[in-house]
Amino acid sequence: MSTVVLGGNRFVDCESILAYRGTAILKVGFAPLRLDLATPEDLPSHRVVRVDQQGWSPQDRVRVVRTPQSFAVFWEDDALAVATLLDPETAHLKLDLRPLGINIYDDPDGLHIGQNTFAGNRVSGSAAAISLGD
Amino acid sequence: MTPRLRKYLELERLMLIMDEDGNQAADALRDAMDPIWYSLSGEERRILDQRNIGRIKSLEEIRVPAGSRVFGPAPPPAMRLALPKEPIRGWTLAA
Repeated sequence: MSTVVLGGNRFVDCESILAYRGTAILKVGFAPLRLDLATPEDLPSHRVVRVDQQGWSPQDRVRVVRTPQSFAVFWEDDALAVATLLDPETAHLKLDLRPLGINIYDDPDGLHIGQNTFAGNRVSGSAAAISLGD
Repeated sequence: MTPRLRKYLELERLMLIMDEDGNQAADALRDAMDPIWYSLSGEERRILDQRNIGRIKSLEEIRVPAGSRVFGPAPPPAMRLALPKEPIRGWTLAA
């Protein structure tokens, strides 16, 4: 059983944490810990980021820092996503996609998506825990 | 991921959800997916065969409308403020 803790929410055995129009944009993998991030290609900010097992892009602006216990994705000097392994099956995720023009971030109040705030939820066994749609 | 593989995975998710609910339509959908399965490349089938599929209860749990409140322009560069040279006084009152 894999659990991702994000903004006070617990996502258990979810294939992806965030999806946009049916396509996963944020996944957390275990053993080893890793993040897959694929922002939509039609963003108003034109800041398209892709991090997956093949590598990451754009190479000149995105940085990935990983250790056995953590996996972090940076846009220049700003942390977009930082996953830390709390135990072999639980990862804590800190998320802030605002540098990309995506208004999604977490803070002590919860997970903020646009004007919505989610806190204290438990989502399990979902293909996409949170789906952004029209 | 090829469009054909994506379609297969989307159908598979629906099939698993119906299967979880005990819906007999899951079997019909499973049979209907056969032509797509055989149209996949050997490499794609090998990847699918090696997966561990968990119990999927729903396609999406929380749905949030996306729009200009979620996707916007890139933020401006952060203002550069130098550290003050003099000791900061009264900051505990402000906090």
